[in-house]
Amino acid sequence: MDLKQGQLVKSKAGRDKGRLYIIIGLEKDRVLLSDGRYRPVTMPKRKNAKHLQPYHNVDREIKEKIRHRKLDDTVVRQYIKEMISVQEVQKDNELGNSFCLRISSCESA
Amino acid sequence: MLIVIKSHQEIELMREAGKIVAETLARLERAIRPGVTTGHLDNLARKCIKSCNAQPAFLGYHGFPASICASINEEVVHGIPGLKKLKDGDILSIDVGVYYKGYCGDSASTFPVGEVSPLALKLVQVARDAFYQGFAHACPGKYLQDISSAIQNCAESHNFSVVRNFVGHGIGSQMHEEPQVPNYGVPGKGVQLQEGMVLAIEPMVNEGTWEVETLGDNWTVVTKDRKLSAHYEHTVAILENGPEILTSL
Repeated sequence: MDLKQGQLVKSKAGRDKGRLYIIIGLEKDRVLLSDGRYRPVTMPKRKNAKHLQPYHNVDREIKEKIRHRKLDDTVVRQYIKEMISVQEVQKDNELGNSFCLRISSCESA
Repeated sequence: MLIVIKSHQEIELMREAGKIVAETLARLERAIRPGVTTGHLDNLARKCIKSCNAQPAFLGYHGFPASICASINEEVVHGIPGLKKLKDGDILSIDVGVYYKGYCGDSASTFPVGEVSPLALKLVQVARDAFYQGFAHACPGKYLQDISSAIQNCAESHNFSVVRNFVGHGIGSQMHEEPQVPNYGVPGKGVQLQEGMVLAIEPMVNEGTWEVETLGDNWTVVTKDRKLSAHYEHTVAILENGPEILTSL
């Protein structure tokens, strides 16, 4: 499992446990993280990769901005905010009594 | 949608959880015969899971009263084990889930009880084949609905139908994670699969209509036309070189 620049991760350990970040850089044994708020792009958090829960989401626009060194905190903050609302919706969608998920719609997912 | 990507260490723990699920299902298969109650099978499963220092994932989940789901004939999923005795000619779907060291394994299979009709046997075989058709598409770079569509095509090519209202799911430290894995779909649609995703792929194949309804116990799901249904499920890890069934011995 390779971590990538622009990938969304959640902290699994430490005082920031549960907080979402974007990977803005990769060092030998540390990952550089920003949430655009408490950890701005100019002062990223260095964290051990094994203390991170990666998600599949890699935002192309953010990835490009990191590559061209044009990423700013507003973009990161906005993206993290969106992902927090997605997380909330997922929690709400834990749809009750079933072991194989019950879906409300018959449309293709 | 936030899909958790699992590390090699997490997948190794899920492999251990999956092995306990597989051992439990194998133990239950040996006990299935006419005259045995589904409640007895539930007790066996609970003992087997506990003896492996694991926890039954279903017991108490939203109030479910048992460690396994035992669904007979027209029951699709979520049958509650009890005093009902198995009869010669029945088909029995058993779904088992466990938590072990913080990770979950989930698998189901449909077993014939004694001598069953050729049609029932075919249905059971098609549910299994449909799973393997879907499984073959669980590779990095493929799309989620490549799996769904392969399952649907397999079932429908035998004039059976796939259940729409219940779907497979992502699995990991939670029994239900994103994404939903429908048993029907269009190739090339849905999220692109990545190494580290773990999915519970579970075709539910009906002899007649795909429509289902839930009985008054609020759990047992049956086919609307009361024709037979079969269920086959494994927890599948998407790895660099292709998919791996974690719930196997």
